[in-house]
Amino acid sequence: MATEKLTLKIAKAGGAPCACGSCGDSFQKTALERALMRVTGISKANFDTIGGKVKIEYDPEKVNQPKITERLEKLGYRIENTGGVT
Amino acid sequence: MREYIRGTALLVLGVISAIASWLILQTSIAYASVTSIALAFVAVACGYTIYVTALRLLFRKRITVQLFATVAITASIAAGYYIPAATVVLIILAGTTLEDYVLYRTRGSIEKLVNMSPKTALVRRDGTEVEVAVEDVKLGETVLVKPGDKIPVDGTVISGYSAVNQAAITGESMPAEKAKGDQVFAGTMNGNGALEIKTEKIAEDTTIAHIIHLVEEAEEKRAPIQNIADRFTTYFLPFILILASAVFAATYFLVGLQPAITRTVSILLVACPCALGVAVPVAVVGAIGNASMNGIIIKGGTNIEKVKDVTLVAIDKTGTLTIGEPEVVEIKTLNNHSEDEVIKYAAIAEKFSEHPISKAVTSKATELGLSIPDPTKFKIVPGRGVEAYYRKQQILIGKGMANMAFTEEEDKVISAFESEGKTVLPVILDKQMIGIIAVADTVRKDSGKAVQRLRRLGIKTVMLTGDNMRAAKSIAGQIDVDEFYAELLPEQKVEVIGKMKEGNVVAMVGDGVNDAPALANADVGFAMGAAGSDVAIETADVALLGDDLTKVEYTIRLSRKAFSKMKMNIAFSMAWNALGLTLASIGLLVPILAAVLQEAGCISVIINSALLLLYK
Repeated sequence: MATEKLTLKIAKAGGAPCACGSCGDSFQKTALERALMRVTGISKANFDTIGGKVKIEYDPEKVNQPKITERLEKLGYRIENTGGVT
Repeated sequence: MREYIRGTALLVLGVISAIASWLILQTSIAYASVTSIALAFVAVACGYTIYVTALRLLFRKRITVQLFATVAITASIAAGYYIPAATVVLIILAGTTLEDYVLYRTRGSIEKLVNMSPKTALVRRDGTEVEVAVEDVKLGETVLVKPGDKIPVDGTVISGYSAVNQAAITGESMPAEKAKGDQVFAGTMNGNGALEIKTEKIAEDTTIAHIIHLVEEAEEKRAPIQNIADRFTTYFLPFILILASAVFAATYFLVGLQPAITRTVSILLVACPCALGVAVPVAVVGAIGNASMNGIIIKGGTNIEKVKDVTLVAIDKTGTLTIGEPEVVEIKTLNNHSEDEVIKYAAIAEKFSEHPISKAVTSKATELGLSIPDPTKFKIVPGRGVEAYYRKQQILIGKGMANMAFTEEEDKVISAFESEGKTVLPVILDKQMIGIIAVADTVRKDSGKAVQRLRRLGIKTVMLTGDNMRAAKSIAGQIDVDEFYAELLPEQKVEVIGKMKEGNVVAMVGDGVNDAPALANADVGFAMGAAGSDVAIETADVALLGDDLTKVEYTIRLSRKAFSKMKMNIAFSMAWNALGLTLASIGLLVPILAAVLQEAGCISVIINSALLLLYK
């Protein structure tokens, strides 16, 4: 199974969560990673809350970049740049 | 690796080395320098995530609590307070690890839904049964579901009979009976019968996948009350910087350097807007997670806040308060005929009619175990009734068909039935009335209970219907609603809702499809029985996936509870911070206690919110 990797810079619409990077951020991290991994075709998701970057590994036969960005937007994130497929 | 697992591992190592160092120190003071180095190492190693996060965020021009902690710990080590420094690090590590764990579990409610869906399906291909991954099932293919297995796709039963437990979707634990033509959902549990299902939706398109996505999205939507917490956190850190500098300066000049360092370190450690930052979001996730386990989707924090204020619930009658399909409710026999005979002749005449009332009669005949022969001739007279022939006997059904005068007794029965809002079907066999069948839409068994419970919360109930006054009055009486409006056209329902909104916060409950405009016009729209309709799930503010009307009251109670927790959390974390900062400023809080106090505040707020998952 071929996988492609994608890195997106994202920001939560509606401002920064809490000033202490620990609990609020890990709450966000868990939610986003789980939600992405539930999309059919996405095998790995890693959200770096400090850098605002999410790294995704996916199977291009089952899911594509527009579908992934749509899911991110529905979850309340704004895509700041599309990093590109690596 | 999950944060809390790494945290626990680090914590165990840290505590062991700290205790070991302390024991060495007790045996001989000669090892003091070794111990100090060991403890400093504990502080650095166990706290490294704090420092790394603090520095990374500092480079992004964000001053955070981690930075405060880093400064505080560095200052302690520099001043030679090794034991307090190591202890503070371990306390912070223990606190954040516990927080991570609780937060992780809070997010886990949805995992239960996810695990409902099986990964493979048994498909019939070219006459043989093959097991394939659910994503690879093709639309229209026949899926076989063995007794006790989970259903892997959405579809229609093509053969077999079974009771299916749909709790995963509707939250109702009573199994639903499924036979040919019935809709089944992925993730539900098959009972004792085998089923063959024609696949209609797979993987991402199934109802359960939609529900999971909607719940995830709902959990991310901010509740308006969050703005209060945000405003506070914005000014929090600048305020702390000013306070810490002021206290340092004042204490240094008035008391001395050592107390000045201690107090400043304490202030930096006790200050944390963290409790405030998570106060609202965790409660939102807790409430939405709880609702989703009960077959309710609340679309985000905004709707929690709206639902909690509801003062009036308007409910559509047909299909919501009632089952929505007419049933034979009473049979009056006349001229020495039996009930079976009356139903049998009526069913013969109605056999080929598709009208819901005809279906009520034929299903009653099936229920009584009667065989229904075909009529020899059959004619529907729209709006009036049916005329049919069987073995040269003429059967007439319907008041409009009876071309004859009724006797006094017949008249009495008919008007009695009609005054109860029932539809009357006189059955006339060769010009003689053999009986009168009364047909009516029946009230769902929980409707009365639902209305009663709403009343207990001080909420007014209003029934809306397009049906005639008599039928409306009868149903309204049975379930005891406060008010009802009958003979309403769909646009009039919207108007009525608009009028009720003056002075009330109005929730409208309907099926979400026919009532969509009324639902949209209400302050909160509840769609009931939404599992089968993606449109209803998407458009409603709250979607009740099952048919249980009592869930409206539950949603309101849950929202009230969630909102009171949000308020409580905000008030508590503000007060807790104020207390901690005051004690630290006047020198009553040593750094170790400051760290304990801060973590205790955070954890209390998180656990208080997470407890919403257990609310019943």
